Amino acid sequence: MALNILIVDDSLLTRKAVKRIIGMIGLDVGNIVEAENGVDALKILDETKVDLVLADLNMPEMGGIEMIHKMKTGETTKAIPVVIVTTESSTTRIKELLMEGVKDYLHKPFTSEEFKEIISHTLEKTNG
Amino acid sequence: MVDTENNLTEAFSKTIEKMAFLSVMPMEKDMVIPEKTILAEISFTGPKSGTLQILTGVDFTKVLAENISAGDETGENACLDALKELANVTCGLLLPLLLISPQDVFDVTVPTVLCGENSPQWNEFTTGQSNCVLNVEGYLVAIRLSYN
Repeated sequence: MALNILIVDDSLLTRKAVKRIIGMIGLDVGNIVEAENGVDALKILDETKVDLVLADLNMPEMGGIEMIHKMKTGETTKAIPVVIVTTESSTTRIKELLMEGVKDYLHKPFTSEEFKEIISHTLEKTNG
Repeated sequence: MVDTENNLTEAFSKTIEKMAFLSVMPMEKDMVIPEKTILAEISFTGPKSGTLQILTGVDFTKVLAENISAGDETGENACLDALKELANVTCGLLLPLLLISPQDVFDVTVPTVLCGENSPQWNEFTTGQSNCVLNVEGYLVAIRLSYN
């Protein structure tokens, strides 16, 4: 099944880099949509079928933590797998997010190999 | 001061290599001081609070944007975005080096940039304390960390 992926990051270049890596690692991808903060991401999730969310945490207007909290308490969004792609260094905060239902996390900066490993692992957990 | 310099160099070098495929090299004589500078700044609060600043020339930000985007983006917005993300990721690698306890949590601001007349002059910026100047493949980059 082709995956529809939402990339949420306030950095245009990071969104581009993530898109490029997705193209390189051979995922079966449908649509890739982008949002530059949590507010825009939630609007997209309201209107579009998304199978996987890749989200930064530190963003203006609405950061990733608030966005994930809203997703996990929303009927139509709570089951969508989320992987955080972040500079967050606190294991305490990461653990809290994993307990809230985030599937995995990827620490910036990352290589395409690290990205592929995390996404493959997430999809296995989600489908299996 | 030595620890601060080492920590800054370590965090910045890892970031620039993985994110933009660029290397920090030994300083050379007669390197060109940037005339048009851009400053990226990110602040943090937690067990220690402070600010990380990265000052460099416009030319370097073009290289940075080009490398991150695989040649797709070199416009002004991409250059500013590239330097902000460089500060963001460097700060993310630096903060664990400042931890007092593994349970510590930092809150980090969204990075901002100053350019044109609002950006500090190179000589004024690099004479301060707690900063280090690095050679990234022929381009000068100054990093300053202040915290308490």
